[in-house]
Amino acid sequence: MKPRYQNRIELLQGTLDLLILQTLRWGPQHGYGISLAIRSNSGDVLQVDTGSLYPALHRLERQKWIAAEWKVSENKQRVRVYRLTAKGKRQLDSERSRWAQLSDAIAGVLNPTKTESEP
Amino acid sequence: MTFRWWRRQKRDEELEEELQSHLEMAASDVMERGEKAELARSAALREFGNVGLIKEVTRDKWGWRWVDDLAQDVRYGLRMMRRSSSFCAVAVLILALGIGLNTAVFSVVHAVLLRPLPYRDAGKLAMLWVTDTRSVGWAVSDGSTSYRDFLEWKREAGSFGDLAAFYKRGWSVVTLTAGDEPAKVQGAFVAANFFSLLGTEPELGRTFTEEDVQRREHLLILSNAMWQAKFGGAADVLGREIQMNGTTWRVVGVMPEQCRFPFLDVKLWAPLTTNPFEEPDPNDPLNLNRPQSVARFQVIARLKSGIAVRDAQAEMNTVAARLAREYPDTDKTLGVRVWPLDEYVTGEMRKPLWLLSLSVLVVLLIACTNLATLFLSRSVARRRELAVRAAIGASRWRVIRQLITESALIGLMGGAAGVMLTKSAMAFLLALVPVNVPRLNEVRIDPTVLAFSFLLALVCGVSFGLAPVRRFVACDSQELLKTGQQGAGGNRLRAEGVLVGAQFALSLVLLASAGLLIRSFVDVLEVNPGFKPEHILTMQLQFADPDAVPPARISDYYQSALMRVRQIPGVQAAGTVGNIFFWRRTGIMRCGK
Repeated sequence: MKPRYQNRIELLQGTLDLLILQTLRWGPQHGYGISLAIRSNSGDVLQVDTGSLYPALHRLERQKWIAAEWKVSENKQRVRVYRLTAKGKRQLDSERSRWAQLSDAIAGVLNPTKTESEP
Repeated sequence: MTFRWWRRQKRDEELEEELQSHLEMAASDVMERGEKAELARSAALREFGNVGLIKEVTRDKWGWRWVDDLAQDVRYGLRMMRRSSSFCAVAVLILALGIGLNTAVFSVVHAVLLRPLPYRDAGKLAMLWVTDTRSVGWAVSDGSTSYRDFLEWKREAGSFGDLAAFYKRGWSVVTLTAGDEPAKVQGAFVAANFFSLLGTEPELGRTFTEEDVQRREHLLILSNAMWQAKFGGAADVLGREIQMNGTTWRVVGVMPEQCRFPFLDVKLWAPLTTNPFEEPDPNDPLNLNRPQSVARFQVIARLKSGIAVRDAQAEMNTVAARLAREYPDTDKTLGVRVWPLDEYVTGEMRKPLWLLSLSVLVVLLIACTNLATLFLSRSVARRRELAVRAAIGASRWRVIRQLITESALIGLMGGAAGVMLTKSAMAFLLALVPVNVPRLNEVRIDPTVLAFSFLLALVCGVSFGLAPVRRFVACDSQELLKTGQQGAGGNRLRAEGVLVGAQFALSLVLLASAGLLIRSFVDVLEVNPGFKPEHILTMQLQFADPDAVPPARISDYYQSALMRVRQIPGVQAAGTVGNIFFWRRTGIMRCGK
């Protein structure tokens, strides 16, 4: 069943997935930790609200790009920890290259290289 | 964790727990930043957003939402039905009648026309029916042949794996004596390979062997009906004796209930060579040398696999042509028709049954249009509720689905009620059907019929639920809520008008057809038979053993019986006749003095 995108963040579509997958590349993490990591790594610019985070996490889990299990944290709390799967890693790489292509393309439009015909 | 539907409950709990733990961690972080406990929690909650909404959106991601929605719709529909129970009762009743009627007719159509005959590989069976070019008008040939011709067919025809002959109906009526009263019963005299050709196994005992036929053993195989009637279904019936046509016969087998070949009302089978109507000639048991003009056998054959009826027919045509040349005095005008068995048994019934099916479908259509009008007017009363639903955010599709679910529920309930109605009235309905409809004994409500009714009920339910939907789609909910009135009522009136018009049209079609059929029936009744049938009584006389009584005594008996009958007060005149007019296929025979 094809998942329908219902992200409510203002980021470009699909970038939330990218951010989550990238965050999990550094190691397994629970939902709260992921949102903290994204916020701090982006210098407090990207604040993922939980209304988008958890649906995204479950969607990614459904597509088998991340896997989850229950663990006990240091505070003796039960937390659900997500980790990247091999399939997810491949997806991450392809998304990264797509993102790189996209940003190059946009940069090309915003800063057109001067041609020889410049007076 | 897999996304199986039945683990939903657990997943729900886990999600709750996950969100809770997130909340806790966020709260403790806020507290670390120095705020007080309750403020921390409320701050975290604010950051967290609307928990309920998050849960709902996340749950959406799991898929399977439509099952939840459907369950919700059904529950709501049931509540609505309980609220307007009289309306629902009426709707269910109307639908029950319509669907019950269709179930009844379909069960007959299914048993008679659609299901294959209860013999092995019944598609390969065919009657070899003799046609006579001399048959004109209503003097129809009864398809019978002589034994000599049968042997020729057996030798020549390569399209058939096996052929079996049996005496035709008129030559197979026997007289049973049980106690004092003799009774005439339809029997059948069949060849040894008859049952193996058909592929039916006896329920008890065995079938005839070649030796039985050669030695002209007086053995009988009973039909299930006869076994029940005469022996009460006793298990020790094998070996019991029956008096038939003045001699003793022994029972060697019982056939299952669905074996009704070669005649619908056949009660017992006996070996081919034991027919009491044949004059006994030990040298020529089948009277091969008898004048061949009296054709008294009918033949059933099994096509070889891979051979089509068309090819078999072509082959039989050549065989018939050769026989016509070789025996011109008897076979000149004869041809052979390869008649597939299912057409032979049910052929006459096809058109009437399909006509009947169509008529009851039209009746159902009328019932549905009726219900559509009912639902339409009911939706007017519910417009407020629907407007509110639309206003608080239900998508249009959701509301439509709700309406259709409700009407589908009514449809299904009507269907169930209809099937139960038919089931309880089955015996009564079958009694109404004319007796000569073949395979009536096989009519029952089996899974196919149930599936058919279920489907029909569902389709009906959805279809008349759609009537108010169209109107709803066009309405303006804002205006509805404010003024409590529908903006433009024209649409609704037109829809209702169309529906009522459709009902009228369909009813007229049915009435006209019924009228025409009744007219034809009345015409048949008024055909002048050439004599006055009023005030005439008929009766049948039978002797326990006609062969044992010398002809002179028979005529004496008839004379004295006639005299006695004439003396009964009220009798104007009395006479005897060989065969009553219009009884089955009558011929006129001239009796020698």
